[in-house]
Amino acid sequence: MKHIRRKLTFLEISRYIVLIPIIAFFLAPIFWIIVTPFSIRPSLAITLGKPTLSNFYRVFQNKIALLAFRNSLLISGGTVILVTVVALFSSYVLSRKKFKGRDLLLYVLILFSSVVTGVAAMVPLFMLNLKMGLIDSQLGVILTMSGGLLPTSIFILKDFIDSISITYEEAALVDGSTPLQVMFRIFLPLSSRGVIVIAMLTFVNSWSNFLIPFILLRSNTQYPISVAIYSFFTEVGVPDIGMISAYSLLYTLPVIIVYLIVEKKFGFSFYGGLKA
Amino acid sequence: MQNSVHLVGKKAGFFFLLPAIVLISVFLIFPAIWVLYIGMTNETLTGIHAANPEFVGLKNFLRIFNDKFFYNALRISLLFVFGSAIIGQAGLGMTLSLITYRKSAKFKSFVQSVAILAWIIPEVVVAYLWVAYLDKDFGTLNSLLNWLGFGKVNWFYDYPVLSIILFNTWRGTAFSMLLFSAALETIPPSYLEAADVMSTSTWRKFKDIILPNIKSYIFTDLILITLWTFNVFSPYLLTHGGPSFKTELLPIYIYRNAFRYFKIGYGSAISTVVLLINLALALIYLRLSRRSSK
Amino acid sequence: MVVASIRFEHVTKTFGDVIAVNDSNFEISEGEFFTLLGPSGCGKSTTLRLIAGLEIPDEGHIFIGKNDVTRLLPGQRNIAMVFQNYALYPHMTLFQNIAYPLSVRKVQKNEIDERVSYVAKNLQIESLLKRYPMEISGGQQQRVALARAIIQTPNAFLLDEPLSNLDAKLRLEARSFLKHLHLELGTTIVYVTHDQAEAMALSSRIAVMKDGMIMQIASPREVYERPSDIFVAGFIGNPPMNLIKISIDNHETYIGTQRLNLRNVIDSLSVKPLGNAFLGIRPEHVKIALTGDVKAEVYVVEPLGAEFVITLKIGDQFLKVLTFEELQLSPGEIVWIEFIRDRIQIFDSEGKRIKKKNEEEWK
Repeated sequence: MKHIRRKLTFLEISRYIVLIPIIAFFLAPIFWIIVTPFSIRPSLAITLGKPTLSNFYRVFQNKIALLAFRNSLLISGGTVILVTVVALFSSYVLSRKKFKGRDLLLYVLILFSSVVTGVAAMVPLFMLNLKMGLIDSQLGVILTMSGGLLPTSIFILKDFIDSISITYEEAALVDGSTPLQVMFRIFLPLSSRGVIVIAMLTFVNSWSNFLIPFILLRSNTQYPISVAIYSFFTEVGVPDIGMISAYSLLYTLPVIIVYLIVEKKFGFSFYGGLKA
Repeated sequence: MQNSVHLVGKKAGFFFLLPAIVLISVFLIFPAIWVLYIGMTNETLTGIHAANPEFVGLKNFLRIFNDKFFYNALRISLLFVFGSAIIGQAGLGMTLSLITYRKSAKFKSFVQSVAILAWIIPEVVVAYLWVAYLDKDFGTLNSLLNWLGFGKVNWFYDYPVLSIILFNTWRGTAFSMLLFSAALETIPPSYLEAADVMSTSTWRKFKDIILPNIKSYIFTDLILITLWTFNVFSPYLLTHGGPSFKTELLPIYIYRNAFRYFKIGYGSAISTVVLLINLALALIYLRLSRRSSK
Repeated sequence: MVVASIRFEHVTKTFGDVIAVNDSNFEISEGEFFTLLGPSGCGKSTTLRLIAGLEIPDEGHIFIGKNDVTRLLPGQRNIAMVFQNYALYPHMTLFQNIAYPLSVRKVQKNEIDERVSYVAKNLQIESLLKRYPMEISGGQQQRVALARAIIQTPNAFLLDEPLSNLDAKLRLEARSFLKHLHLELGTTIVYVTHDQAEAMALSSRIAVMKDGMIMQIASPREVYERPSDIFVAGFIGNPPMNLIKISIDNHETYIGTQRLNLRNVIDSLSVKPLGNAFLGIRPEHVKIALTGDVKAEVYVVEPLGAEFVITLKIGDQFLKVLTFEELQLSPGEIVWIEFIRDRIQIFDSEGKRIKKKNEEEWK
């Protein structure tokens, strides 16, 4: 609203004086990752020059990098499927059936999932996986991640389902559908938005996660991309900065794409979910 | 219980919930309780106590309170949370939200996107970016400082805590920015317009109109980012807790004990302490959010 | 299409502490337009949902035709329902919506096409079939919901306040449309509404409900002229029946301090009331004249175009008069009013209507 048109007041100028260094602060590190993967002489400094794709070729020639990509797909894919399916079943019941202690249950779930995080949680989780023989397995990582991501997904999806009027299901029943038909032809299409949101949130969280695979996996053939990149830039010797930066860029792309999709379709109202 | 016709009967409903209950119980709730028990044993992954862990009661906990490394980690964590979360993320987030308040959608979107980018990039990549950014010889920050006439700074050695504070602030500001932006949107524009008509100074406007109306959001934000920052592990990727334990946050301290020295029992005891702190913070948050929604 | 009767035997349904339907017994005849009428919370929607099978009774039995359907799923009862918000599936086209009941029963595609076009044509929505529910108006949505019900050729239609989401003008049109539809199809209709005018206009019989119980089941005429108690009397009609507190001793009747000669009326009652009672008279049956039964003070005059509603005050009671004449009356004026004798109903001190001697049963 430009109802009072002041010409460059002190406020306006100070706005920009403050803003520009902040923007520079945010952009500077990012600038490096945009430039370096394409640089012919990649280094920790920003080196501009003729762009090249040679760094990317080396990514595809790196066995660990490729394996890690497969592992990331496995882990994220597995986690997304597990969380989405389990959350869908649970959220439906939690939304449609009111029982004593339901709200308390949700409260407790959210409480646990915010408290049991980080390395403090990883110590008993490591022991758990050890006792179950799941150390160094993708399954252990998938199950551990799912346990942590389920409460938030259930919470969000239940909210979605609450907003779908139960009248559609009733009408479908009266129209002669069997319960299964109501589920697949009426309920699932109507809840698809919510399901997609939690699938995307789960994907981003599992794809980006470093700590769980770092603790639970031992062999470098099992590492997902997050741990692989870490091993690349901390290993002994001269790191192949070009390859690592190119790999990192590729690794980041899916996350950016998902963010753009969510932003476009839903507006950014789930900032809590993305971080948690 | 109502005898209504539902798609899913009582029995089926129970089975629908079962997978979630099992997964969450095994991988979330059980570990949280079990850690207390392990913390009371002297279990390790190597050596005698690996095969025969003994119950030692509260010995580990007593050791913690006598461990200078624990206090070091606690001190650094508090410093880190204060610098990176309370001042850094919240302060910067508030600044950005105020700068973009009631501005054009394009402007707001641009500024927010920049911060959000820093937030959504996977943490390993962010760590690597900052390894490059803060590098003494080649890093961009030193190049910039050099260009401005300052000398090169050995960030990781001379200012390790500041380095990780800057890193984590950069990483997490977007959340506070978005939260505060949403909070500002809840203030009826008429309040500020009335203040404009009365030619109120900007500072007074902030203090008397904006601040009181978003107080609950500020508390919520501070609690949440404190909880998250307290548990964050990514600084490890930058400094590995060094040099000389100067950036050993509590999570890194736990990592060293449990996964480097394999002292699982002791590590669990420290974890229990941290989880209890988390619990306290989470309860405060839930209490606050209940109150504000009533 | 077999048209069926519907019967409730001692049906009770409770939700927690609330008894929504309390020992309900009634029978709806084949082809009847049967309305459940009452204020919100009276149990009319619950009764409809019990017929539909969306609620299961705690006690009692429900019969559709000869079949005991008490434990049957909604889809097995051969009834069709139109919900208050129409419940058109938002992710399907209108064609698919109407076709849905057939497609879940695995009817062949060309038969579906034929039947959908036929019904759509009859309801004048054929041109809309490719659209989505979001894209059409409320009135059109209602007809699609009707189409989806009609295409099932059910034993009965259940309509849950189908007109309440329409604006006033559309509501009147839709009401006539519904009545015409009933005459054409001849199917049993169970209709729920809180609007007494709708109930009066459409029904073969009305069941007036309050707090889970049926107060009266009768034809519109009977419910209008011979309401069973003061609740029904005060619910039906716009403005509703006047209920004036009177006191009777021996043969004299008093309204407040004024005496009123109701000897013939009281003599014609099957039971003689004594003490407190209510005089029920419809506003159109009260005349303002030069002389009359009692005196009253004019309180307000409301001109409604074709008619006038005049509120009068007798002592501390109010009564309304409906007249088509324009009388020059001003508030505060004292006038005489006359009650048309054979339209007076007397209700005892509990609010129950006292029958006349030799009262015939109306059908």
